[in-house]
Amino acid sequence: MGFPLLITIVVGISIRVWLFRSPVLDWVTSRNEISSPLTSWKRVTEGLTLQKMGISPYTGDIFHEMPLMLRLYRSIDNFFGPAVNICFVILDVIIAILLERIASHFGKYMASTCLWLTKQNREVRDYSPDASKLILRTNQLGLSKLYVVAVYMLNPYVVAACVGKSTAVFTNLAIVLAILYTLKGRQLASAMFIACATYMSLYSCMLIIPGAFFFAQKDRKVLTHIQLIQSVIHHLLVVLVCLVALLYLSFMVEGSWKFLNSTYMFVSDPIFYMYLLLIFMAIFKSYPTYADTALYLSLLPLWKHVFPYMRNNFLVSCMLVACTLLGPVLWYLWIYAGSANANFYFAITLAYSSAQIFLVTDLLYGYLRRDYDLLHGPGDLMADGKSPKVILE
Amino acid sequence: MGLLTNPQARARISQLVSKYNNIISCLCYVAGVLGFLALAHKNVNAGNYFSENALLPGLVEPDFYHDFGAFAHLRSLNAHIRSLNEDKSYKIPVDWLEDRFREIGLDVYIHNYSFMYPEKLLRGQVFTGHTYWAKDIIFLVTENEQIGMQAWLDAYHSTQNQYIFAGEMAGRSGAIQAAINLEIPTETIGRLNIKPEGLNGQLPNLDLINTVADHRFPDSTSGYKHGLETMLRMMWNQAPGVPTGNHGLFHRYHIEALTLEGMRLKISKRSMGLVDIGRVIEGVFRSLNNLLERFHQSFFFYILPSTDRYVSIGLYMPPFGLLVAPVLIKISFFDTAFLDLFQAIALWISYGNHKSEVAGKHSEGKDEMSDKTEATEKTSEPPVAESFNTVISLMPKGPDWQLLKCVGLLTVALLLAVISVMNISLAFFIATMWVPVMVLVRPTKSRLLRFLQYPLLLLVSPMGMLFLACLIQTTVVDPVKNLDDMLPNMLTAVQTSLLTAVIDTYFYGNWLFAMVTLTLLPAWTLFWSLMWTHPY
Repeated sequence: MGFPLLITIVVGISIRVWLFRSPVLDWVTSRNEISSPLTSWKRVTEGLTLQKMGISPYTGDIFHEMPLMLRLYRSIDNFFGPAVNICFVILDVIIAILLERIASHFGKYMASTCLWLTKQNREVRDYSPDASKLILRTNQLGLSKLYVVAVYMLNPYVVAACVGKSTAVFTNLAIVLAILYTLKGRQLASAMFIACATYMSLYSCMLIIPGAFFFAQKDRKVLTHIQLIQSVIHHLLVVLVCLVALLYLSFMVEGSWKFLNSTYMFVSDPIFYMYLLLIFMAIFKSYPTYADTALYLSLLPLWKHVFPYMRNNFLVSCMLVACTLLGPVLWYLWIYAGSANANFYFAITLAYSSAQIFLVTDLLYGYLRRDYDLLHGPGDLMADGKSPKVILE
Repeated sequence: MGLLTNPQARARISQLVSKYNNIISCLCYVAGVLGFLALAHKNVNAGNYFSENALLPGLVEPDFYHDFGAFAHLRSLNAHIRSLNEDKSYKIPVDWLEDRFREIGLDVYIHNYSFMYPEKLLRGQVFTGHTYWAKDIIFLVTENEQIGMQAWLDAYHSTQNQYIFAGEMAGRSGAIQAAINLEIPTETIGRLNIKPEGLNGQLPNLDLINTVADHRFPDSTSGYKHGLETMLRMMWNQAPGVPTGNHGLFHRYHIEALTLEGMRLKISKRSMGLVDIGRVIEGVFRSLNNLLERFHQSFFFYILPSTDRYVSIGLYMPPFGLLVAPVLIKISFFDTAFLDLFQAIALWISYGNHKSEVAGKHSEGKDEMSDKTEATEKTSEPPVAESFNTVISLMPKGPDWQLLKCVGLLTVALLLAVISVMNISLAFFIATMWVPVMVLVRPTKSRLLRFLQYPLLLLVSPMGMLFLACLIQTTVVDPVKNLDDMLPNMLTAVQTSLLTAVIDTYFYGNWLFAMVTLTLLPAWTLFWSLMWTHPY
């Protein structure tokens, strides 16, 4: 691990520790953008107390975490006691280190597996000569590591989620481990962590599909449909077994076939697909918090080579900042001042989701546009001197 | 979505905007200011109406026809106070008040709180002669103005204040629905002044103002000039977020409240006595008596050009948007320098001037500026020393002042947007001053231009605006008679307002001081440092 990485992590830890001691802590913890009823640590302590008193935490409407998680929280509570804040800082550091591993493996994945570079070397004859600038070089691939770690450790959303003690961090940890083991090619571990993530937060089950595709095409030059289906079934079964092992209902097997056809175009890049699903889950899940946004924002630098093709970065970043500022203000006007109503706050959450949708469509567009330019060259002008118009259909 | 996905339409618009950006900015600003001032005209704004039908104003038969001994009470109170003040204690005659209230047949409670002085409060249930009262009515007499009121509210709602120790309260009623604060200085008054402006610029529900205004004496003055004056005066009072009366503290507890201030008579045209005021109060209370739920209809965001007309949030936001539009236009003009968000993030972290290898390939929506951000390929990992250089290089030299200005304008736009939803008046006054200056400021080689920019920027700095506000207060809003007094008065006003702002922050939770020091000052500093950077 390089020196800049270490500094980034140390700075990130200092910010968190400082915030845990600052007076804004209470305010941050109570913000509903940061910890929802599903992920609030306050409710976890409530659940632990209920359990200690011999009352089932699930009798009321307070506690919404899974029973195994409650066990985990209890041992955390026993171990750290009042210093539970430290646990969240440590978790963040662990996730940051795992993200660094992901970025590093992602570089190898692009360099050595069936995709980009080998594909680029193999198909380089098909590419337009103008596209030479677009082709990725090995020394560029290592850059993402610091970006990823820095965007995680210094991101205000992540810091807020950590200081607010959102238990979504545990789900994020499982997802990050799942991505890492997928990239490493360890099917059992990958499936186990996807099952873990699904266990904690239902939406993560969607990650099964890209995982299955990844392992289907791994180490195969040519992939037939039967092989694909066999492999997907195999992967699903592994995840299912893990889920059953986690005492979880096996309701996700159904419906997963539907994804197969509609998302076939992503088969060429399951990791990108996995990433898009992460964004969609963050946008469309009920009770979304900054922890969900923070996770995919941290991994965004992996697609650094697509950035030049993205056109709404500025707009999206402005929208996100504006929503982050206006959210608490309109919440105050609604709940405390009583002068605004729920619609004001709702409008802001809508704008926040729209910003994320712009980001994901833009990323998808940029990805496809880059593929197009690789084949046709990034020509600025056409013969008649006008810019070419590329239409996505 | 068309704008977002169609690069050609976008290019056309951004070309248009960048070609005529100065004219468009100028037009937007002028249109914004004029549009806002035009809101006072009766063709633009709307007439007041009752949203809450339960108030049923004016449908009851008033009982308040004689003075019920008000004059006698007043005379005896005055005599009592005179006798008390012989020993220069200047305290509220608590015992006297308690006796009289008991005499009428009210429950009386005295509430003590500690701050610096003891505080006494009285509460009762009144109009015992009638059976139609569905609600408790609390009569409250406080000492130390707002501190006393805050202490009583804290005690009533069992909330804590770090600096005012409210203590326990003996008599309590249910949730309070509305409060009317009376400031009556003399027996005969010329007119009643409705003061709605509360803490942090919060306003009571418009229906409460309607209810009071419905029982008012007719508004004799009208016309655009009077409307504009009234509107600007209300905005002037609302902007600092300091309550104009004791009512302002109620809003935070979801209690609609306003102050009725009796203005002294200057020219003896028409006069109101205590009986008339009593009748207004009775009418308001009879209306409030009908309420079944909290005030929730009508408006909470409005500006009043007169007592019977209002400007709603839907009307005043478009001109305000126009007013701020130049900032956004200028950002879009600069956007090519700032387009790559991740580049900016990278700058903040540790990388050198890493520019994406194909940054020049943003083929859509570009103007001439893009030449300056032409691709520089730099892929080696810089050592730590260079990463610190990068942070320092954020202090712009070279073409980077555009990036700094872009960030600055963005901050200003966001700040104004956030302030405008909480306190439109404050946002309007800041925007009128900041927008032209912040759009114009740029580093320059010309000494003349730079000397022209100094005073402008200093004028709109937080301190400069405070001086200007105090100047306007002492000359226009509340003019002093003697011109020699003006300067000392103004300086005293500056000192007191600074001190009051800090005290208000701790006592009542006023946000003005924190907002200015934590947001406005840094934003202004950004532009100040921008002026000092190298022009190219």
